[in-house]
Amino acid sequence: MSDTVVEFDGVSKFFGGVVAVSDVSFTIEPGVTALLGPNGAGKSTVMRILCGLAAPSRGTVRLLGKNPRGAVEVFQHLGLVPQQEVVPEVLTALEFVTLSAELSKVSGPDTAARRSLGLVELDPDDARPVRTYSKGMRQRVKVAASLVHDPDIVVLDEPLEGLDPRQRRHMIELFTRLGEQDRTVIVSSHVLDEVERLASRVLVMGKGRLLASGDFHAIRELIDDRPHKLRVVTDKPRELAAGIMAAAEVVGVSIVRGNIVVDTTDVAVFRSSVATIAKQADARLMEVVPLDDDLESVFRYLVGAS
Amino acid sequence: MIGRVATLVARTQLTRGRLIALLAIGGFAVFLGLVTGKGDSPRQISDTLDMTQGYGLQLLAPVVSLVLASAALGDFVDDRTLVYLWLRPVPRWQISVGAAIASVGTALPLVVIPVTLAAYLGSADPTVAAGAAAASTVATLGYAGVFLALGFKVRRALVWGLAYILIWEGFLARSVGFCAKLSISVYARSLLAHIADGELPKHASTITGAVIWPPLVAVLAIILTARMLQTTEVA
Repeated sequence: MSDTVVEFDGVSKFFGGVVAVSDVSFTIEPGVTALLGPNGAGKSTVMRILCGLAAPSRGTVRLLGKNPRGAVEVFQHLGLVPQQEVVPEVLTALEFVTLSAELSKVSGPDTAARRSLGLVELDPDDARPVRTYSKGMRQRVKVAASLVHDPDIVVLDEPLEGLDPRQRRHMIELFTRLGEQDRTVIVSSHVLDEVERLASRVLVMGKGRLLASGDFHAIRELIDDRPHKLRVVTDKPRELAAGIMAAAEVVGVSIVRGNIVVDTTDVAVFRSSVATIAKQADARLMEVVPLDDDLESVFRYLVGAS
Repeated sequence: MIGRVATLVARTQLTRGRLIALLAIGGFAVFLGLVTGKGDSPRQISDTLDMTQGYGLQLLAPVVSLVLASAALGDFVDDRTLVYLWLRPVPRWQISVGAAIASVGTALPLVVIPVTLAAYLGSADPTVAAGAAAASTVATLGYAGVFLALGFKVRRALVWGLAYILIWEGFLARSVGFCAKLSISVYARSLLAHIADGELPKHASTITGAVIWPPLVAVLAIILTARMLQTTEVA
């Protein structure tokens, strides 16, 4: 029997002439899977299609073998933490989570709501309406509501936004634990380090396309193997550039506004060799700065490579 | 489940600002009844009927229904909290019916009580107050259904709703027979006239039609809203 919980087959989504998601296919099994990509990559659209909140323009989606825009019964097994910050503001946290439990036909909704709020370290007896809560507290209320009916699938759209470091750690532990309980946890994030701590399996998205999928470490290697760009600041750019060009790990050199811009396949080796090259060229080395050590450039690379 | 949805919707609809504004326009109806003064002369009864038709049925009932019913699901769409209702295993018709119950439940007392009270204060003839109660109930039911669907479907439902009240109900339904057949106000005013033995409006309906059509419109609007909930894309 197949373990596939979520199946995307050739899914595209257009908004007028704008392609938000283009021909995306993947399957997700129990455990924690991260959807990784920069802002505007199409992660939230994929999440919305996955949950049935939006219909695909092309392709098919199956959630536990069913069309999520068909029978509402599938929502019994699904918990979503949407990206938007708002929750019904007139309610207290307990009222909101209890209501969520009732709508999901949980027996003992009050007990379930209290337990769920406890999981995210919120006080169920706090009488303040949710509108008075901080962003981080609202985020935790949303997580509590998504877990109150003990769903098999938990979809979390940027769930760590607005949380302080301690709460982030707590939430990461919670999501990891849910994955270990054989639930299917799908987390979207644009923060590489968060994903590294959360999920072993990742789907990398960029410009609406699925750029890579598989084990996190394989993707990380792919990311680390890409050419890196560094800026070298020196008093003798021409002389030093000539020396750098001969280094094996260097694949490109140019001089931009008096500084050397180097493309290298191995930053560590280059960093250690550039000092020797500078000494040989009798150049004063003032600065070696990475120009693309951020996630955006990683995605740019993957977009270019795909 | 319908009860839970209705309770949530009602709590969201009845903001303090809305409640104060709607109580104020209801209170003005009562003030008009007081000014008219109690009496049983034909002139007094006619004035009270005019006031009930003009202010109660053509302004108070549609405006109160518009403000509350368009917010019933419209507020959830606008602030993007519909997802919390939509993503639960609740049949869409139950959400639609729950929202309709909340709309009618909040709008009816804010319309029927002041309109009936104003008619009672303005006329010694008990059929006027009875007609006002029945007509305002029928009008509120019909308008609540229509504005529930409108609030879910369109942005700026208040503007569209006011345009509908002014142009369709206030102008076209008074002059074009076909439009009168599709006017909640004409049915409500017909019902008032039938019960209170007043002057029937132009293109008036029978008493049976006046009782049946506005609630039927509401039922159709609730079904339409459930259908839209089924097919909508939720932000």
